[in-house]
Amino acid sequence: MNIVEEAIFRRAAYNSRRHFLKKCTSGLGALALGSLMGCEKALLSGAKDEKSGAGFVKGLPHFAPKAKNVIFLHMAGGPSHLELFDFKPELQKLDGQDTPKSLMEGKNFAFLKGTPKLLGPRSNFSRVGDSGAHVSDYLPNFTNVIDEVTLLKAMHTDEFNHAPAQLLMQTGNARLGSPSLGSWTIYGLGSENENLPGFVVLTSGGGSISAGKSAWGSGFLPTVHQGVQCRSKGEPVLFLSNPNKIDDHLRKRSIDIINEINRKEYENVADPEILSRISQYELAFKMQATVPDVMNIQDEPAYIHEMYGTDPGESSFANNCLLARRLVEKGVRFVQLYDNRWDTHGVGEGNGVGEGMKRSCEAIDKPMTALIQDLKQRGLLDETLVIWGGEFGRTPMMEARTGVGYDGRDHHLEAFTMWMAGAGVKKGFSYGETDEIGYYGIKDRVHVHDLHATILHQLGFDHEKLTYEFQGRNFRLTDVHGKVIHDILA
Amino acid sequence: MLLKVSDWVIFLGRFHPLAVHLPIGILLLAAIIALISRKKRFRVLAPSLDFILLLGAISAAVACMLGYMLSWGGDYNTEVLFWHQWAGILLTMVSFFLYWTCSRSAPILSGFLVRNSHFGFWIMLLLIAYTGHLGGNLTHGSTYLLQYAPNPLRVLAGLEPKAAPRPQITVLDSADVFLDVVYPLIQSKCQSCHNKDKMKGELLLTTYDEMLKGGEKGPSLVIGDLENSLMYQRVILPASHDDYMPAEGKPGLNDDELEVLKWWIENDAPPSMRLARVELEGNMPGKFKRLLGLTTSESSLPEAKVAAADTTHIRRTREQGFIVKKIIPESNYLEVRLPFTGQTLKELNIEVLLPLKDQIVWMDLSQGEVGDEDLSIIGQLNRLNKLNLANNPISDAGIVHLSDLKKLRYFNLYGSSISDRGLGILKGLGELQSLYLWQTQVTDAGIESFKKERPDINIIMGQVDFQK
Repeated sequence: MNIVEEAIFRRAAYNSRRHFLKKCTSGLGALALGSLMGCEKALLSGAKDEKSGAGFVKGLPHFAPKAKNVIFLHMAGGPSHLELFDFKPELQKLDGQDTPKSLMEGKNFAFLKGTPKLLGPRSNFSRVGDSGAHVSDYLPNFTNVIDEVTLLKAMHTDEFNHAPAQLLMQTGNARLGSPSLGSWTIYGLGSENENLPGFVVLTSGGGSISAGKSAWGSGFLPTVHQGVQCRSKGEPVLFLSNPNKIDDHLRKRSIDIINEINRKEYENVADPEILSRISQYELAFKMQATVPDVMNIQDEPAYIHEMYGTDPGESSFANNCLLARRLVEKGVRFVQLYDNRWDTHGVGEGNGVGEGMKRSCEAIDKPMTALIQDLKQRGLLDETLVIWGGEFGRTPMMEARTGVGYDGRDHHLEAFTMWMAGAGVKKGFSYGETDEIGYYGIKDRVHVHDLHATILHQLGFDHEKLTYEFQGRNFRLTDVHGKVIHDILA
Repeated sequence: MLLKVSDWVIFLGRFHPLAVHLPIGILLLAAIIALISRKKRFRVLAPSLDFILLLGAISAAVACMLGYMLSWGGDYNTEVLFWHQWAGILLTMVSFFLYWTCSRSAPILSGFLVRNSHFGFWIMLLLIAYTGHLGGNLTHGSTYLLQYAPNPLRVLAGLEPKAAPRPQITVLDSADVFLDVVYPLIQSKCQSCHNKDKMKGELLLTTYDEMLKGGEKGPSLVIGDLENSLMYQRVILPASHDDYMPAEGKPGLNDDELEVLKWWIENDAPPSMRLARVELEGNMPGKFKRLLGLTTSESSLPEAKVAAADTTHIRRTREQGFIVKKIIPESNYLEVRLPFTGQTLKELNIEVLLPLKDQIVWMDLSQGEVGDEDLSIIGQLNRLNKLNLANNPISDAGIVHLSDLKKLRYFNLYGSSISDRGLGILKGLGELQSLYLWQTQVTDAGIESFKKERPDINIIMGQVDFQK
């Protein structure tokens, strides 16, 4: 035993029962104080928990919002910009030629390998509208509203696979666990209509999107802010209606009792998830009356069905567009549509950018055009921001696995086109340019983070100040990136 | 620079601003002790005087040496530097001399000198003040001290009175491209190093002529020539580049600032020109507006401040069922809408809104069974900026009451019974920008005559013929 060990041993020997009891007084006191103050940081950090009656976070929004509502039309899979808005005659001339090695060096693609052939656009373009923007013959109706939109032609992203790219587009982070754009919106602005969820998700095109429900999850925000998925066919929200032989009164009483028990449990353990549960039960009960009403498109006049090309009772993008307008009218802040049919690899018939993509376009062309026109004639476009786009674009090169005549393109993160309309966005404007073959943005590139910053700006937020404290630091939708694209704002 | 100065010399030299505060403090203490120890009460301090003086004198000598090393780094106004240097050396000598007179090793002189030693300390104090002031001027620039001094004091010091600030710019056309945009930019980003006293790289950027003259690397501004204008070339380098400006980790220029600087140089760099005289293309107006602090898109709230609404009135409105809320927390302006429960004006008393007429700027009463008689109340809410009365049984008879809504910009009347006659009344709403008239009785002829008088108003009629 050396001298240090001996010293420690000696000191330990002095620790009598008396010492132990003495230390307990202060130690237990500290423990008690901790639980008195609550483990939540609410007492220290303030703002985010001080919700006023209207469900607003204090101090928000930062400035008068241009947009009260957002409708985000996400074309899951990544539609080809080269067949829709980005006219590249040079690429047509190079159709079928080998891609230069220098273009492929050091680049990551999902499926391209070796030396792929370049693939010219499979659609025909013409200049349309007063703005003279190029739009292809895949979207004949959309040309009618081209003077309402701003085209973002040099978008780019960081991810070349669907799930991470969709997460990046919807949550600002390619990894799981971040709140979605819609969640941030209702976290900041609250829901207008207390009887409907503030963030509704509608899907079409079959299957579920690669990123799954995380694309509309609330991440680290309180779970009350997550998106509520409604079905456009059958019951809009499953298990919402009363079970057999249970009437409204009994249902109401049982929910009241469950909430009372939950409230007691919350008083005991102070888990904020319990509060989410209580408010969700309450919202679900209110939604029993409001949701079937707003989701029932049968009561629309014939000319509206004709305009959108809707098919009541079925599940379709057209129905979802009409529903989006109805939801916005009822004060739903954020309506997220996913249309899942845009992954045009050309690995089978109807899966390429030729006839296959043309058919896909037929499914969206009329409804999205009608959505803009209908919002406009009702005076809603003024304060509703409509955003259209996929999670990435498609390569100017042909996909290796493409069957003969199927004309597939691979995922492409360096350039793609999106458009925005309404709520203070310029009308008939085009922003950004790509190179001769539509591979890379050469002017006014816009990253996904910049898009998010701009959307939040129109909603009245400074994207650098809309934060939520989690795991010891403040998080933002745009993390440490993002610039508002002032040039596209009127 | 004639001599190749080793990094060590400059490294040590840069401790001068730190070390220089030791002699200042210690010698001030010595002077205080020397002067107060003449009083009987403080005589007890006198024996410490020689020790403190020695300490002060030695630290002054060290500061002098470090200062000399720093001066080798160059970039200082040589004339000021000369006087600072020699005043510092003189101060060191004076403090050593005072030490010698006070120490017991000079008893012969004591009779005369001890009696008059306080003159020596007064001289020392003056030298400290003079040297210190010159040193401050070298570091911060000669205008630093009196930059914010009151004008009479500045005049007394031989400076011209503070320049009258440029008038606040409220519209883009009235701004001067150089005086209001480019010069303030140079002032904030360049002049802290390129001024008369610091002159880094022998470059001055305080006046237009100095920009043309440039520094040791050549002219900073070449009119119309972006390639050779160093003031542009240096700021667009990557921040990691050795020649990147602003140097020393100061924040660089943002995209708007770069574009505007580029535009100015390319457009013959006028030393003064109103923006009204040029046609700004593409995105340039927006960039100028942002730099001038003008909002790019018209703010949807009135600029005038308004007093907070009485909370009892707001509560009464909420009790009625209206949804009332502040548009942004910092402003007292309110938006009002009908509840989503389906309640309409048939059940709610609209008169509760009248006490809030100064605050309500946005109102949505669509599908609210608003009748013509309600419009006489709505017509008194003359701050209204956005008004949505869509899908209400409103006719021309009610529209008459709205002629006072002079601030109205957005007016939604779709699904109402307004006809050409009612439309005529709306001609008088000077601020009106968008008017929604889908599914009304208004005819094409009515719109045509309306457009003749008010071509500025955007009338939205809708895509679909609803009567089909």
